[in-house]
Amino acid sequence: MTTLDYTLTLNMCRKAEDFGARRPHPYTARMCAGKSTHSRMSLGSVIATLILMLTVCFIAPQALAQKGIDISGAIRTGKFNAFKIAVGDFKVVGDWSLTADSLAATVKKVVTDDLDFHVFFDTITVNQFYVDVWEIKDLTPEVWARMGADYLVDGTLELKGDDAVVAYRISELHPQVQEMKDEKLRTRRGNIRRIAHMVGDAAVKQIAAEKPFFTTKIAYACAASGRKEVWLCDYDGANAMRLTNDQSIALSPCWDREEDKLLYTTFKHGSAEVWELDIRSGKSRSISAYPGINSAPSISPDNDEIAITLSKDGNPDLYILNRKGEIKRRLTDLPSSIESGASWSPTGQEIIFTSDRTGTPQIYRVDPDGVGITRLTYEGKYNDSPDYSPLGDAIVYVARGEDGDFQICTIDTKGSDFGQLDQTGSNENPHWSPDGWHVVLCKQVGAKYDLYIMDRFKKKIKKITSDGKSSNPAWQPFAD
Amino acid sequence: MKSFLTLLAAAALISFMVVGCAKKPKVEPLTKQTTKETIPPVTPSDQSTDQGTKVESGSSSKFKTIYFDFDRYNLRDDAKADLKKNIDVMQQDQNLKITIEGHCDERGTVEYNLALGERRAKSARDYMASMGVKANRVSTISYGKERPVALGHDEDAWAKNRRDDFVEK
Repeated sequence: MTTLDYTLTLNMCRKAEDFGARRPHPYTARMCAGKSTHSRMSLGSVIATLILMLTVCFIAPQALAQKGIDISGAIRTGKFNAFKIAVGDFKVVGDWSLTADSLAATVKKVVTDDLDFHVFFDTITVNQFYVDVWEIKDLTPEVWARMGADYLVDGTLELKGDDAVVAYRISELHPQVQEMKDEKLRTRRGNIRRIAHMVGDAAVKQIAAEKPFFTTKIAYACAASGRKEVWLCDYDGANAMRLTNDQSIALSPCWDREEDKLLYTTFKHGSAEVWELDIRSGKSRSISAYPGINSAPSISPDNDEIAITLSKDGNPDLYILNRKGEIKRRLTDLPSSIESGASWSPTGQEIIFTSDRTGTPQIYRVDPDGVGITRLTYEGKYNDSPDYSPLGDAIVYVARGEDGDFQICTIDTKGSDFGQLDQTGSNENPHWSPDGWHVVLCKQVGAKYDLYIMDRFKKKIKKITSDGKSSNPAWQPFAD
Repeated sequence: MKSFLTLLAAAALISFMVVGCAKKPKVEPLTKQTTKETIPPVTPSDQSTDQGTKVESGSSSKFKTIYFDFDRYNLRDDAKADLKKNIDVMQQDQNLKITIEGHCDERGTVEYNLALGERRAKSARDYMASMGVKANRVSTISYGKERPVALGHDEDAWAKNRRDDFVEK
């Protein structure tokens, strides 16, 4: 089983600054730092490359122009050109074996998929025409540069007992090939995908200078075991594992901001209660079990408060609890409408939610002390499930279209600048990635519910579960 | 040929035994087992229904299920008529206690539907109370969209799922 391996020893040999503010993650396997060595280019490949350079028209390196610019601003104004990156081979060094070869292929595939999905990157694939015409045997950085890549990630893989050692390097290809970073990562073989995600993370950090998310997880509800339970998978859907065994209905996971804990709604004692689950120990404890429904918890950015829907006073309203579950204050107090689905702004100064006070569900905002309730959506008769971007600039939600389908839409935090992310099928529960540039959502196609991830600008969508019974995703926030 | 088959069967039996011994279900050392709640092994078995949730819903035989319009919790005329029959049953047997279960169709998000189901259950409870059924005989629970009775994905199924079930305690 290559899922979360809690038995692995935490032994972060790598320099702490490599991943910036991100603290050592408990899922992390053993890793050791070290300089990797790479074979120099052969004379033949130098000549081949020179010929290529003379004959193939020169491709302007756009990435250079982007250095030092504000990527966020460029993306928003449509002036951003994605970093063109190639993922080269991870060659087996040491004793060759089928296992080593397959692990090396896995690393290449995972890194490629990661970077291909990321909104800041376009992956460059092998131009078979060039390769055939020039009888290229070795895909050197220079060859990749000729094929249109501005950056290259490649490396080696070596088996050492039960461990695999991946040495990667990230190179800038223009104006000349220059190595930006190299590193050796060591892990148990079964943990190879995580190491590959770390290589992808390093590329995002090194090239785009942005906080990477390839090692984050997604918690969700899944009925693949018969009953709806809370499950956990990698951001790309791999390593799915069941977390709860409530044997009733468990759903709506919400991440703790600091520790590996989830709040979730469970019917294990009859009606909807909110419990807290420690992912590593498996321990859980009751947080909110007031009469009526206890549901849709959302933890504040300072990690101290929970916005939640309770119906203990007769009607579903929003309340603020402390982390023990004690009521601190009531946010909404309308006797005959539903208030639910709270989500905090990253500053903690605003809470957005769904209310049907006008007769149809619409999205509203309120200060955390319950004042300043303002309606944000006016288009359409059904707007629900808002999630406030961790970048603080947008709200993603679902809107029921004229045809009855539920589409993923965005607005800015004042309710303007309407946009649509996905218009196909029927969608629910969109949730931002921790970097705020991507979204996970549940899409219904026919009778099947599955999770999909997509980016906010290219709108490229990717299916990450295939059991047909997955819903209610929550993307793990950055722990900082 | 016969001896070959015997040999094959013996080999199969031996290998089965060997595998049987070797593959003892290995307990993952996930936790120190300090609590009741432990992480179960992944079992991607599939005994579930179309929608994933087991259907255990429906009113008790004495009572009638009442139905709602999409995204509504007000009582339709047909719902009121059926609800009156349920009230008659309650008044004939003063010892009866019930739970009204509010349910929704699959459209819309889990959280909103939980709240909607709650409103549907309470609409019926309040109506019963207004007709003289004491509140302590009626409790409510919402299952949102988690317990559909009809597993289709069309208006026909949705209409059957937007309901209050009346369950005798």
